[in-house]
Amino acid sequence: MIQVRHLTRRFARLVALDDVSFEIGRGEVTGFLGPNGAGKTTTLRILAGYLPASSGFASVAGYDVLRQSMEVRRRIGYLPEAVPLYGEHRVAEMLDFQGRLHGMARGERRRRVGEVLDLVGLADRARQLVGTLSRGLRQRVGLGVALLPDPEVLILDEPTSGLDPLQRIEVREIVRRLAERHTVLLSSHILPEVEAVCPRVLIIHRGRIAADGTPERLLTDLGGDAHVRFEARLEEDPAEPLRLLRALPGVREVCDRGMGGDHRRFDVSADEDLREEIGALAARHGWPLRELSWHRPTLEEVFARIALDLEHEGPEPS
Amino acid sequence: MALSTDEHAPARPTGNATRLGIAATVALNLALAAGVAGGLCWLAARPGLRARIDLTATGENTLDENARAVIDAVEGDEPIVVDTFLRPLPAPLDRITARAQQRFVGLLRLAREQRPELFRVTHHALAGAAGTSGTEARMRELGLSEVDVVVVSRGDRKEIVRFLGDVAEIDIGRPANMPGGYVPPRLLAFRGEETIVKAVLKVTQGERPYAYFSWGHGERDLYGEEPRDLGLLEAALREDGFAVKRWESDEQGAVPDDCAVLAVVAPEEALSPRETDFVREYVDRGGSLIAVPGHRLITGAGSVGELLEGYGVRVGEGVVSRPYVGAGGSPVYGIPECAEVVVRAEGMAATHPITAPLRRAERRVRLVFSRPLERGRKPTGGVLLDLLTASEFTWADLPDADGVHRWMWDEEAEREGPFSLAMTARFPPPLPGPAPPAGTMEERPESRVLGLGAPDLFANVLFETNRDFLLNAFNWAASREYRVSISPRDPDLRRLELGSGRGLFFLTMCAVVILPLSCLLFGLGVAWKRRR
Amino acid sequence: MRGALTIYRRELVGMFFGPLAWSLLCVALGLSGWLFMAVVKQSGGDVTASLRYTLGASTALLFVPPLLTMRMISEEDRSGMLEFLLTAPVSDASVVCGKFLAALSFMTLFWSSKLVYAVVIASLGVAPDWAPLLGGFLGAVFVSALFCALGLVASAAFSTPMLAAFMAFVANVVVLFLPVLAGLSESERLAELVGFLSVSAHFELFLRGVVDTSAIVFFVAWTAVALFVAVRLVEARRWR
Repeated sequence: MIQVRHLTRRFARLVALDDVSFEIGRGEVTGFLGPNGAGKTTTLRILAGYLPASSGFASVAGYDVLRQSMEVRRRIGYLPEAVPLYGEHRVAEMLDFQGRLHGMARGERRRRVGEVLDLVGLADRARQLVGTLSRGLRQRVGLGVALLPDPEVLILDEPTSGLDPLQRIEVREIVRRLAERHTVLLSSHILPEVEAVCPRVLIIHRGRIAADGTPERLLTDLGGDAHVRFEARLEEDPAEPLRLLRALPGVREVCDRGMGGDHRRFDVSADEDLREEIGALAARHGWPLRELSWHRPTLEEVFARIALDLEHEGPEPS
Repeated sequence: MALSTDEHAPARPTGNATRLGIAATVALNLALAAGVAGGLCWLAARPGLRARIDLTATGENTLDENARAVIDAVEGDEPIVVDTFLRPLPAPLDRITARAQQRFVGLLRLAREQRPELFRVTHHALAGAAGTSGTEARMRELGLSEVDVVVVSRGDRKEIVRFLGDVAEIDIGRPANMPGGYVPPRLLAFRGEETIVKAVLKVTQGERPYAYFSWGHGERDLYGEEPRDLGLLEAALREDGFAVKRWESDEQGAVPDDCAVLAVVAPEEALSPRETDFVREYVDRGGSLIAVPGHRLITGAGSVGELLEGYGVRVGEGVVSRPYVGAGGSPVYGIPECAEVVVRAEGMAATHPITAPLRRAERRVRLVFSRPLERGRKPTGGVLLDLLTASEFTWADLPDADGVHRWMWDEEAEREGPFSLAMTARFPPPLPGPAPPAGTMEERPESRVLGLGAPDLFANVLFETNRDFLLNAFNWAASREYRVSISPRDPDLRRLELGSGRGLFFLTMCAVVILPLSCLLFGLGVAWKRRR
Repeated sequence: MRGALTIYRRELVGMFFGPLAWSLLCVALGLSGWLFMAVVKQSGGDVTASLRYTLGASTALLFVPPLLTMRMISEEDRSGMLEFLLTAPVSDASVVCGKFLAALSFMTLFWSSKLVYAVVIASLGVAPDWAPLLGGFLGAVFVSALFCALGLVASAAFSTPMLAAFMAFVANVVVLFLPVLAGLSESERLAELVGFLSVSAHFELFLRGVVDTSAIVFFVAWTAVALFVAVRLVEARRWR
């Protein structure tokens, strides 16, 4: 549905996008993740046909965003970060305006406005002036505007920024519902949100794609070390428990983390959760247990690590 | 996820060069657009591609059909140079004259649009720091001593048009502090086209018309500077575009073919029968004659009286006199000054081209020792017209037995005014004549005769007073006033009665209060309706 | 075309549902009404001339279009509305044209107040000369069109509405009074060129009651050029 190849965009001296390539298939819901200034908005604007790329190619629904801009614009619903709403319009009027822009007939417009108002939960606010709405409601109106032409592709730029947690959950719910019918590309710099909504995550950093995949895959591929933390009071020499732990099936590595007070701590790396086996082992040998827990890195840690790694690469030649 | 590695779009190098390139393209686009617009405007202003509709009820923006025909008919490449020396007049005339001037300038522009290659129009600045030196130089060049005029010239021929009087007649109204209250000034008549066309015709007519003055019968010297000589007239005629010559039949024989007007001015002796025949033949072929009897009353064959009588103008007996207005306003009789008669506007023919401009401009004609003229048998198919008429407070003073005038009214013997002092006769020439000059509206030539009663009317001593009358007379006689039929247009005079108060109040309320307030209320209404 | 109409409709709604248009209309109408009455009194009740004079009075022309158009592009760029409009399936040209038409409609409404005066005067029993009045009205609309387009250019070129309004005002002054300045020079060629490019001279034709195709072409062509420039400037915003 969305194809991006070797996309580069420069603003004067600044390289905002540097050879970005990715593809998003029909019906996919993709989170576009990255810190502020990473190039998310630039990418989305290029896809929406607002900005031209400096070089490279992007297409939406098979149409080149630069050369067949009109075709692309008819097929996307784009919600920019600054929600574009005319304050002096009523909610329904704003939606109706979008319908007119998309050349919808009167009856169709009326039907779609009703549907969309229900979808974003604003049916009771249809006659309120947009200017008097709260931020969360404005965001919903913005979503409604983007949704109105029933686009094949929805591009949402930071749909939850500036909202309180409750409003965020509401918006997230709406987006999740949309995922059933549309290809969605949404950007955010907040991880849990992307994790909660998107089956696929694209991480962009300093204008480059740093990672691409499902959150789980990203965790396994990049996070790597899920482990069981095992802490017990051991009288004897740690060599024996170490050996026993290593002997357990499925264990890749056991790391002795040394003594913490009377207790000795081990990190047992394995592909699976081995807490039950380790618990049984401790019980058999009468090791008094203080902690037995399954540790898994969060996407946040993965993300931070990517960011740090890239930092360590040093300034890129330009 | 598999990424295709082929280069889909060729990478466009971006940098300052590209930016410059884009800027250059945009600039080129803009220049192109401006060029196209300029070209379109230029094309649209071409006479052939231009259409215009005049929406005014008075058609004040359109040249009359006849005027267009005259301008179209102008031949030759030499440009017609029009210099305007118009200035804003002081209040309260400022607005109205400015508008009239605008209209006039607009007509000049229309003329120019019709023949762009022919007309060179320059509007000279008369006020302000800039441009006055150039204006002065041009005024010197044209020999101008007055402003508020428009000079139309071509080569060495020029015609001066006075803005007030010739082009626009303005009623100055009444100032507010006068009894009866304020009356705004208004435009009585606007003759822009007429004056332009006449001026154009005057400066474009083929060669100089010849004015011949008969010579050899005691006429006054044509070039002399004595009070009763004709030197000033001769100079003025030359200035006006005439070539002035003497006609002496002994040497030249018949009246020359190029003669446009023949003047027989105050001969003190009779013309020979041969000469009289020459004159008659000339007039009958469509010529023009101006004839004035001399001081000495001659009658019979060869006299001016006999000559004029053939065209229906009889020279009467006596000298038209009036009581001289002495100090204190009391009438004085018995002095030679009684023979000086002044004809004011009311004594002039209103429609005749000689007197109509004078009448409009409220000029006077001063005549001394004038014979009364009477209507005789008019020539076949002709028209007689009294040009100047002395008022009823005049009498035809007859000399006493000794031949001396007493300047006293003898009720029994002497006739009472009004008297005609100048008469014209026009008639279709009985004999075939030369063709009229091109470009005029003349359907066919006609013979013109102007008979005058006062021998000194043309003399240096009275010339400045009567200058316009005399030049008009020669121009008319030489067929140079070209009957250009331009229907007069009345300026728009629809006015709101300011005195009545109610209408004005209503209008003021509407314009200043109701309309803006209704907008405000409407706006408030909309705001109230959409407050949530 | 449809896009332009949609934008036009939306701009009208935005204009007349907001306070700006009405207050501007109120002030402009009040001032021009006052001027009109002053001229009527001074001209001794010559209604046709007064109406023409008020149509030709350039003050409203200089001020109102810049105030109308100042926000149309610069403000929307700041608020992000422009991003929305330029990613909607309508061309940049339709966006600019829609806004232009809205501003022009406002000016037409404003000028039609003079026709209301004329109706009132006619009802008082003095029928003004209608045809040239309509001609003058047409001319005023044409000049307004040019000035609205210039205002849009300024709005597209400058980032804040105030600056845009000021620059548009300056542009209007220059366009309207350039011939006066150029008239100070003696050069005939320059005078001819200026006459060819003079807005006031072409406007004057309309005010005199002449509908001249060349004047119409003049205004339409230069308005189109200004709109073209505005479109290019809107596009250029993307290239920055």
